[in-house]
Formats: sequence, structure tokens, C-alpha cells
Amino acid sequence: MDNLPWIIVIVVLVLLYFWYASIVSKRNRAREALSGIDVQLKKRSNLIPNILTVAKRFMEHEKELLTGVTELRTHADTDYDASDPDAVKEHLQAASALASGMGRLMVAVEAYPDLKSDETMLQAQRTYNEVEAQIAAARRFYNAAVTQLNNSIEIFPGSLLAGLAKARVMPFYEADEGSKGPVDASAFL
Amino acid sequence: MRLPKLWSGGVIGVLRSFGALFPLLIGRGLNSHGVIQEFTEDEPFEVGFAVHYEKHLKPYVDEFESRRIVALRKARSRLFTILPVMAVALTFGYYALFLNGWDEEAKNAIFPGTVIALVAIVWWVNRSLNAYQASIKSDIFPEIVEFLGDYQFTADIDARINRFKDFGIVPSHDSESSEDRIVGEYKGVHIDLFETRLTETRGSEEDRQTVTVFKGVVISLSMNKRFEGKTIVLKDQGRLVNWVKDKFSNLETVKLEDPRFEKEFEIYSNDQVEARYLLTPSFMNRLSDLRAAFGGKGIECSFFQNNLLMMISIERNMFEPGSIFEREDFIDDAKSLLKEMTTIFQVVDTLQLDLDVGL
Repeated sequence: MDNLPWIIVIVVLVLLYFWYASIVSKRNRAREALSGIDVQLKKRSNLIPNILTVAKRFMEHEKELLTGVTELRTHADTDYDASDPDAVKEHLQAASALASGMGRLMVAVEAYPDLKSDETMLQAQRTYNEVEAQIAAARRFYNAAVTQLNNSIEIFPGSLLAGLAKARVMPFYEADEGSKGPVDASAFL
Repeated sequence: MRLPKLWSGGVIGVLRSFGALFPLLIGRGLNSHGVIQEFTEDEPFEVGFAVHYEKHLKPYVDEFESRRIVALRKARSRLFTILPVMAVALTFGYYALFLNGWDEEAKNAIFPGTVIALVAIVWWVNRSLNAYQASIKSDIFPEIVEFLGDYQFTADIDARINRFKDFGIVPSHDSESSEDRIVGEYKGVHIDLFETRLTETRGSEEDRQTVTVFKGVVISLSMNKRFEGKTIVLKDQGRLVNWVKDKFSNLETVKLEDPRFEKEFEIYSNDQVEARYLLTPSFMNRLSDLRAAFGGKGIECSFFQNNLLMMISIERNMFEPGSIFEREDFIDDAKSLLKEMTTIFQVVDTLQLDLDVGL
């Protein structure tokens, strides 16, 4: 019975340690998921110049759209600090904006029958769609990992241990409603 | 050996078989009455089959009808030969048992002996009937299946299930009994399916039981998506079993967003992103619908080596000929087989495996 207070202290410390380890594990998983998104975003980014090259041959009157996509791509490819939630949020928003810009480009392609039926363009679109599906899957995994991380941080005593684990609440990768409308590339530059 | 269980199980099996032989006793189906019916296209999937029937099946009707009658007469003759013999043997046997005061040792010998003898009789009588049914499957079913496209139907097949062992959803078993393999292509999706029954012997030396661990259809389908890892979808078996599986598996649990899907299935994968790439929200919805279409029975599947393997539990025996006691015209056989194939095709349609994702 004399040792009871010590036993209680040890048990609490052990539990706190496991909670701390859990937060670290979830933080690393969220970073792993973010890295997975970046791999797919890179693939998409590498596809875009090919698509723009083909599109330019046919879409002479869509220079503004094509230039806008190029600028969005440049911005989305900018390096960022993966441990800074604000930087991550901006990075994901830039990725969403690029996706939105490419969406408008693909819609515009429909108005050019020659371009629409061009074999190179068709192949590029198929590959692009496949990469978008991969991005969607990576986004779902990222959001699941971030949900677990944020829950562990925001639920007491996670909030006390988060600083020790260098873990911060991370943003979700959401479909941005605003990015579905016209995007002014200069707003991101 | 648990005598009562063996006795009761054997009796039930024999009574079922004898029940099936009752029409034979009364001479049902021995006469060919009436004219051959025309094939009527009652279902959407039968459209066009009437012409195929006239050309490929009707020419064989008379020949197989004769074979059917011959098979029935042979079986009936055997039945009427063996029944008196059996009746006399049983009478003497049980009378001797009665005279010995129902001696325990004698009982232990005579009861299972009776069951074994009855099973042997049923097997012997049914031989010609089974041979006729087998000929329908080997000669006529391929002609029916040909209507659907370039498909091959093979009734008797070797054990195949262990070829799919690496997919991770084949249950542990000691014995496999497979039949009725169909291979072909539907809307660009390669299909390879067969029926199987897997059993496992469980229990101690004194209490051995053979349990059916799976009975149904195994379908291998080519996928319209490329992937490198392994993702398996199993029936949800409750938190404890799922937790144990998670701890002892080299695959991670994947938690997805669809609550209905999560309630019905447990997903394991060695690649979290790839699992979500394969199990899109719409795919999850369609797999849940498919499960409901098969009566809520077990559906488990595995994505591995660019194929989707599905194991669908189905109690009834699929791809079987119609009643041997009815006049043979292949119409019921054709309707049944076409309906069952359509059910399989619905798997492809429901899961949209034919959708070109541009790979």
C-alpha cells in the first residue's frame, strides 16, 4: 500500500508515453500520406506540358486559358514545408486550383473536334484521368490519416503532448468550392 | 465414433436419395408424350436463342430422349432387382438381432452396415441416371453456352482452388470438389469461373466431423485497372475476429468512408492508397448491391496480380440439367443455364469492370 502512489504515477506515465507514441505514429502516417499525394501530383504535373503542347496547336484563341494553366502548374510545383499546416494548406489549395484549371481546359477541348479526336490528345487524356483517380485515392488516405492525427491531438491529454511530439493539427485535402469557379492565377502568385 | 450422428446423418442422406427415386418406382417419365415444344424467348437474355436452339440443339432432342428412356429403364430395372434382395437381407438381419436380444455389438455392426448398404444401392441404381445427366453437361451445355459468345464449358475439372491460394481469401480446407468451369470473355472482361465445395475435417480423434467451409462459385475476372499490391475484402466477422486477423496478418486494415460497406466487409491491404484506388465510393456501393443481389450471403474478393477473384457462397448447385423424369427437349436446361450465366454477367455489369479507365 505504501507503494501505491508510485504505482499510480508509473501507470500514468506509461499511459502518457503510449499516447505520445501514438501521436508520433499518427503524425508520421499523415506525412506519409501527404508524401503519397505529392508523388501523384508530380505525375500529373509532368503530364501537363504534353497536354498543353498538343492543345496549343489547335486552341489558338485560348491563350489566356493555356497560360493560366501553366502558371497554376508552376505555383503548384513550388516547394513547401510539410510540417507547417499553413504551408500544407496552401500547397493543397494550389493543387486543387490546378485541377480546376485543367478541368476547364478539358471542357474547352470539347469545342475543338480536331483536337478532341487527335490520338495523342486522347492518350494524354486517358493517362491524365488515370492519374486523377490515383490522386483521389491518395487524397482519401491522407484525409483518413489526418482525421486520426487531429483526433489524437485535440482529445485531452493529446493537446498537452502534441507540442512534445511536434505534431500540429493538419488541414484536410478538400474539394475547394471556390476553385470550381473561374480562377485568377495572379491571386496565387 | 458417434454412432447416433452417423446413423442419423446416413439415414437422412439415404432417405433423400430414396425420395428422389420414388418417381422411378412409379415409372414416371418413361414415356415420350407430346410434340417437342418451341423455345419461347420469355426473358431479355433469351432474345435470339430460339434460332440458336433450332439450329444447334433441336437436332439432338430425339437422340437424347432415347438415351433418357434407356437410362430410366436401366435404373428402374436395377431398383426392382435389388429391392427384394435388400428386403430379405434386412429382414433376416434384424430378426437375428431381435433373437440375440438387441446385442450392443451386433447393433453397432448392423446399423451402419444398413446405412452403407442403402447408400451402395442408391449409388448403383443411380449410375445410369448420373451418366445420362453427365452427357447432357458434356455434350449439350457447351452448345448452349456457345450462344453467349466464345465460351468454353467443362463439366469435369481437376482441383483448381489452390491456384488462387496467394489471393488470400481461399479458406483452409482438406478436400475440394470442383466442377462446371466456364471460361470466356464478357464485354472485354476475361471470366474464368467454376463451382466448388471445400470441406475440412475438424475435431478430435473420437469426434471427427467434416465441415463445409465453402460452397459456391469462384470467379476470376480481369481488371480494368492496373495495380501492384494486394487488397482483400472479407466478410465482417465482428470486432474480436477482425482484431485478431489484423494482428496476425501482414496486411493492414483499411478503414473506408462508406458506413454500409464498413459494416458488411473488412478490408486489408499492403497499400493504403491502392486499396482506395480500387475501392472507390461507387465500387463499394456496387459491391454492397451485389451482396444484396446474392441474398446477403458471403461475398469475399481479392485484388491481386491484376485480377479480381471473387468467392460467392451459393447453397444451390448451379449449372445442372433439368429433371430426368421430364421429356427431354433441352429447353429447361437452356433457360436455367442462360439465367445463371446472366447472374454471373451481372457481376461484371454491377461492378462496371468493363469501364475503360484509359489504362
